[in-house]
Amino acid sequence: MANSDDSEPLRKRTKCSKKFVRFNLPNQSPDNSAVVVDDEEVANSAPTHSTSAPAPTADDQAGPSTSSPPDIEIIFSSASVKSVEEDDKQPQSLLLSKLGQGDILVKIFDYITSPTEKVRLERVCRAFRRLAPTAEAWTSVWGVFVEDVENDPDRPLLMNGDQMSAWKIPYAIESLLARIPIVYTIDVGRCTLDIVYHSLMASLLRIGVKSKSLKNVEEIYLNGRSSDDYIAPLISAFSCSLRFVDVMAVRFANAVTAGHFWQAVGECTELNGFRIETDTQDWDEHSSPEMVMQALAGKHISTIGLMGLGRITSDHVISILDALPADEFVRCLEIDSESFSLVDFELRVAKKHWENIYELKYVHNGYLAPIDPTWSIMRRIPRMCPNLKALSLFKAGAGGSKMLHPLAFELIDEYLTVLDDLDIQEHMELELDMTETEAQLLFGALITQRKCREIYFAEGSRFTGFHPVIRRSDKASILLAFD
Amino acid sequence: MIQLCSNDDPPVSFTVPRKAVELSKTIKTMLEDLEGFDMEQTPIPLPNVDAPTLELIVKWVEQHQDDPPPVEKPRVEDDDSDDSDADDDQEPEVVIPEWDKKFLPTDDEQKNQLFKLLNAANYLEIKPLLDIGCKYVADKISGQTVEWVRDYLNMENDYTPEEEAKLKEEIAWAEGL
Repeated sequence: MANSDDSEPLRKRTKCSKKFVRFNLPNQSPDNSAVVVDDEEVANSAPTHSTSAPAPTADDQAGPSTSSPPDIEIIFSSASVKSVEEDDKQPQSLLLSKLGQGDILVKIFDYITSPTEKVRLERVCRAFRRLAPTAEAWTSVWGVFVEDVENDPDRPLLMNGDQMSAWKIPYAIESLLARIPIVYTIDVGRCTLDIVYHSLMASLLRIGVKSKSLKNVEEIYLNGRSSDDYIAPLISAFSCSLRFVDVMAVRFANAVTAGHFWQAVGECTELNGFRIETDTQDWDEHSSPEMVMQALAGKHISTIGLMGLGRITSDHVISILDALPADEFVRCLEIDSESFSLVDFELRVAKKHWENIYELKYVHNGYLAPIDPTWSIMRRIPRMCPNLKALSLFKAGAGGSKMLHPLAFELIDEYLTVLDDLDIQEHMELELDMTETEAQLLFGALITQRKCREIYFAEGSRFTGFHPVIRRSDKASILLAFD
Repeated sequence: MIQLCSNDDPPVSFTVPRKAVELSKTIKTMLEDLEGFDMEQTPIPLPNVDAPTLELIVKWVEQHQDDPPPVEKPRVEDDDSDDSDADDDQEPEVVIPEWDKKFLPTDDEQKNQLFKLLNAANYLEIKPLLDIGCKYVADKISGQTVEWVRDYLNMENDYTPEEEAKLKEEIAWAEGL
């Protein structure tokens, strides 16, 4: 209800032909007082509503002025500006006044970050119900993101940042998909609840994957721990628009399921990024490298992640890289030592890929002996790959073996030197897996040498107390991940 | 210097540096259209802005006249680059600067002045001011009850009891986060 005291509608428009009161603002006049201007001055300065040409002045007669044409008068006609005086009815809220026509409310809705909150506010009044679901109020939301929340059994899911119980998910997914103007991303990669996948499929069937809002889905992140029945259909549904497919923890019940999956990937004609990660052995039983290569054949895949695929070899990876056109290069490569080695990366991968790659993630499974040539290649990576922005070397540490301290230290030292030499402004991450003792020794040495500029700690790290000590600048960073 | 005058009776005039007043796209466009006229001698009437609101507008544009112009990013759907990253495509988060936090009339008894300011910023197309004002109101109403939001924004519940019950059921999932 309008507040009778405060919600006074905007004042009536007044013609600027009466007495003016001019405020001299602090930086324009030494005194900050209001000055009453007399009618005569106003008459000379205020616009009029006359359409007749003014009488020529002495200046006009003297010659044409560059600042004011002699025969044209500027007229601010009443038609050129809308007046709130024309409103017969007093608007119930200033934000719904004729001026804004709800534009401001829509903008406010757009700034509400929680999608759930946006929907809930539709209960306020009819105007909210009309304006809150509009595309303009949802421009900041471009996808559906659902993930598990492990520590809260009552609210096991996080959807677009909002925690909610599982029973709400079907309604929430449908509401969001119906409101987001253009869905670019569907990310359920960190969600393992079947109900989410089921709801997603049901909503897509109801809304229709060819609808305007869903025809631009470019990225999909799925999790194989949920029912694999939905994985292939979801990829297939968006095969015309998908550019990036990421499937975590994939597993296949049988060769038929695996076949459907790879067929769906193969249908994605626009695909330029593909990441798969499996932590079970059954995928090897039901998938073959041929299936993988057939699915990725003919595609310009510049972002590749093949993790835990034991039967994929360096030959396969290099074949995928070789399929890129001459003027394209791998942008992101995520690979593990079972399929690929850094030695192969250095010796067999074309130089154009090293020189341009900007994200490399290499997981070394098992013990990495001090004499392993991988160590020296790791040290060379920043110079080999000058455009690298993010580097992750998981499990490159010793796994508790104190023998590798010097190697890990030399690695970081080398990286910092390279960062200095190249004056790299970009964020670079190095993830090393090491024990607390190893980390403390490393930190101590780095702080002493004043080389380390910033060290980020993995979430939940026990070493957050080091932060203020070693944070030096924002030029580069090292991320240390702990067990 | 440019003179702006309010819709009051009598009108109140403010003299503002041209650079500051051009933070208003509406006025800037008008001044460009009237290039060649001596606008310094011609007060510009703002029929939708009262004096207290215009005073706030003038204060804000003077404070921000030397700010770098906001970067207008292309809309995501217009961006054809293959390596577009969703994170990069996001609009930068609006952070209300300290000066602006103190400047905005945020006390509850001043809320209608805040709404008038937003209306004026919208009318005059002063996007950065509109952005911070809308962000403030969005933060203010987030997490509040429906009844509180109605009261704060002076909105009347114009649903029939049946409509409200139906809607409440329809979006029950969004309640009680």
